[in-house]
Amino acid sequence: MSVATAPANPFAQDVQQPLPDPTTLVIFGAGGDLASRKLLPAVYNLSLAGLLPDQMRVLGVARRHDVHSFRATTREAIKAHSRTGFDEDAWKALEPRLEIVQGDFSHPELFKALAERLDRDDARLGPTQRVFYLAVAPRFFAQIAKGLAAVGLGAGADPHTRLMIEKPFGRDLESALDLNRQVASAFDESQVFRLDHYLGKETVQNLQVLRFANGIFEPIWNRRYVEHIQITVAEDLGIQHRGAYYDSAGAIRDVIQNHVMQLVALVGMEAPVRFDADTIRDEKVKLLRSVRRYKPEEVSDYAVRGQYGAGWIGGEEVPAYLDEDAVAPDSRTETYVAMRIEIDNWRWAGTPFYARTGKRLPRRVTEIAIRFRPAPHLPFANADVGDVEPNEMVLSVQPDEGASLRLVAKVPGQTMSVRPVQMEFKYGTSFLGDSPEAYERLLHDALRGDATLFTRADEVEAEWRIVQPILDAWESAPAPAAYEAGSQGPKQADELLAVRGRSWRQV
Amino acid sequence: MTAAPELSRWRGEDIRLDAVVAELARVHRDLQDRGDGHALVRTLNLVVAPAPSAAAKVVDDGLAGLGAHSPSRTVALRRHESDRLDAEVVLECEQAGAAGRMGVCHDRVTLVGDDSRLEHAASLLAPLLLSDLPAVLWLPPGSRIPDSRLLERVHQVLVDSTAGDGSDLPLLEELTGSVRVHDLAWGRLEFWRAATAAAFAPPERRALLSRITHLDVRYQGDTLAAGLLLAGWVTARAGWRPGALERVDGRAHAQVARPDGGQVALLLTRDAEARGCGGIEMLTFRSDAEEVSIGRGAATSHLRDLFAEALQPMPSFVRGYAESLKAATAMLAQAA
Repeated sequence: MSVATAPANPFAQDVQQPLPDPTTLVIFGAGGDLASRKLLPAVYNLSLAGLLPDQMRVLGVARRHDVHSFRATTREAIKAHSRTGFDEDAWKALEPRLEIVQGDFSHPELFKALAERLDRDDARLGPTQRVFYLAVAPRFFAQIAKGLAAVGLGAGADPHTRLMIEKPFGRDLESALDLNRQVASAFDESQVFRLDHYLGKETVQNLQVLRFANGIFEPIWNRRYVEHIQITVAEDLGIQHRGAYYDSAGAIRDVIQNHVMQLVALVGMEAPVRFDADTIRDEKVKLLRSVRRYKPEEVSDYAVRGQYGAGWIGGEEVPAYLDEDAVAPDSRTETYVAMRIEIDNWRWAGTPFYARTGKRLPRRVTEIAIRFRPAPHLPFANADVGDVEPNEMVLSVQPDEGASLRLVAKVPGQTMSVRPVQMEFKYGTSFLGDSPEAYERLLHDALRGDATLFTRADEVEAEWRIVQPILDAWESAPAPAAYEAGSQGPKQADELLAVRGRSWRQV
Repeated sequence: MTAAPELSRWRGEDIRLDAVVAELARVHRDLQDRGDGHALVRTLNLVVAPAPSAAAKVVDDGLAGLGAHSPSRTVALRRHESDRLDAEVVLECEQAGAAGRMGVCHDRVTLVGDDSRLEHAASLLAPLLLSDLPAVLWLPPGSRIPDSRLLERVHQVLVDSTAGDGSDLPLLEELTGSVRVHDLAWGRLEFWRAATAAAFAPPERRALLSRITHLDVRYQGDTLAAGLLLAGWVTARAGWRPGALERVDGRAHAQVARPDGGQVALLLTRDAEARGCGGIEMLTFRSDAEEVSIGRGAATSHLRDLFAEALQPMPSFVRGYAESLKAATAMLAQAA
């Protein structure tokens, strides 16, 4: 029988989650922090879960490692960071699949050596798709992408190749456009998987299921019924060991431009006709392009930035941002941003989205709160019902993944008293407690070629177009407002909402 | 896994079912009155069939983790020799964890009766099952359905056929005709189905299927049943006709017929040393000239909480089970 007339695969029909095609995962920066803490443990856990193909090879690219030291450090990294612990038997199955190509990616010879190595391995062990994960500083993304393309591993490569890069994608609109241009000169957009680990979180994915699989929400998911929306990404931690990076980035680049804009897009987008990568991303881009861009002179009316001072978190005294390691003593970097986002489309016109993110806030919480308009008329004229809180739906992304809906109910008794009650759905009580780590989900999706949870070039650009005017305005604006660590953020952020009689939810 | 802390426990000897219903109402009222951040949550009814003492640990382990993933109205049936009905009502609560968070509570009823009562288990359960929630009947290892009318009240049956020689498979095959059966053994074999599908994804491999002469399944320890399920699935999906299974010293073999009339020698071999994934260590397809071997690599089925998955109305792993059972049962039936 010829290959052309081969029958359909009879075994595929019972498999809900097919294994990826045979793969060589090439990790640039294999000896680095990201590879050790996230990527290699994710590979290990995927292999334990039986989600990797039989022909799966991991080829590290590093300057200092040889294969022995790469395997030894990987073993220790898995022991330290695997969510499932460490199993010697499983490690023995994975260990021989780890290989190294030694070299420096600033030298073209490295890419030649890599291409030769991949061809040699394919000839010896069978052909595989090649997935390049750039676990290196973003300034090297374009250089490596072009280096790969120069040796035939970019656009049009056979076997097929993919490129995985992780945010930040540029540090402003211009650099993002430049990065996209350079990457596009080396790889086709369909080969590029831009990873924002937030999109791998179960609750973020559940947002779309909640909206588009429950008929009761969509009819009220618009300006007519929603009064405003609050998106909060709060952290109690400071900048930890990331002082040098953070001081050059700040909260707007670190969180608002990517995580928060993705949440805005997912909450605000229209229903996709299909749940596939491009259809969903088309809808997200449409929404992001509808976000009003402020003129630099308007920015102070719509956005507030702050920087934390010393204070107390969880009963411990913590230093001011300016006293953190690797932070410039006169730094004007913001550690807090609050902003009002107006979406100029038929669904959302007049219903603002308020977004805030901050470090050293009282607790770690990421949530989306949808505040509905109050009942148009309360027919309890003779009863003392007091202030009736409008309905509010809160989608919690972390730490307690779930959703709650605030309703108003009568307090049992002779009088007509009312009080708010909560209906809660918690992921942990209705589904398995141990969800895969976001990196596992995203890596597995990329190996399978499913780009749904990855950011497309035009999404990145649309996000930067929203925040760029703010960055420009802040270049010449006064220093960020100070707020005490452990507080709710700068007072000026409250005024963003107070002018319209609104207030932030407590962090 | 440790059980959630108990908030209350009530025991009654020689009681009527009304007393159990009244006690449940009382503990729920008490919980509401406490107002201390605990909430009663139930996502399903779980009925546990009477199990032999050898299965006690399996039952305890299964129920201990329940509150964390599927808080349930659990009704466990147990057998004793006395002519009376005893009962226990326990309210278990997962700890609130942190200030401001809610502790999730669920209830468990144990009914202990003699055979004559358990033969009418459906009537015992009727007042205890929560309306509008799915009902699952769990058959722990070695247990049987005490009252066939129970099948009218439940939406699915949860079993684990991994261990043993496969003698339970015909019963399960019969059961699939009347109710959805979620078999943990089938869940543990999910890796093998995905790996087999991947192995035959290249068109040239698919063409090889019509030339296969040998199918070898190496299974772990005493899990012949798992081997039979996997072999049954391959047989069914490849369109082969099952033949009689013969067993000798941990090895089992059968002649299976391809659609073109060619023969496939099926061999199931026990490997005492293997760790296995779902009870299987290796699956090998051979023709006269070629071989496709599928090993488990690092894969293990231990990481997944299949018990929790199997309680869901439509777990990811259910496809192909009925076909697998049918083929495996046909091999066993012809042997008989």
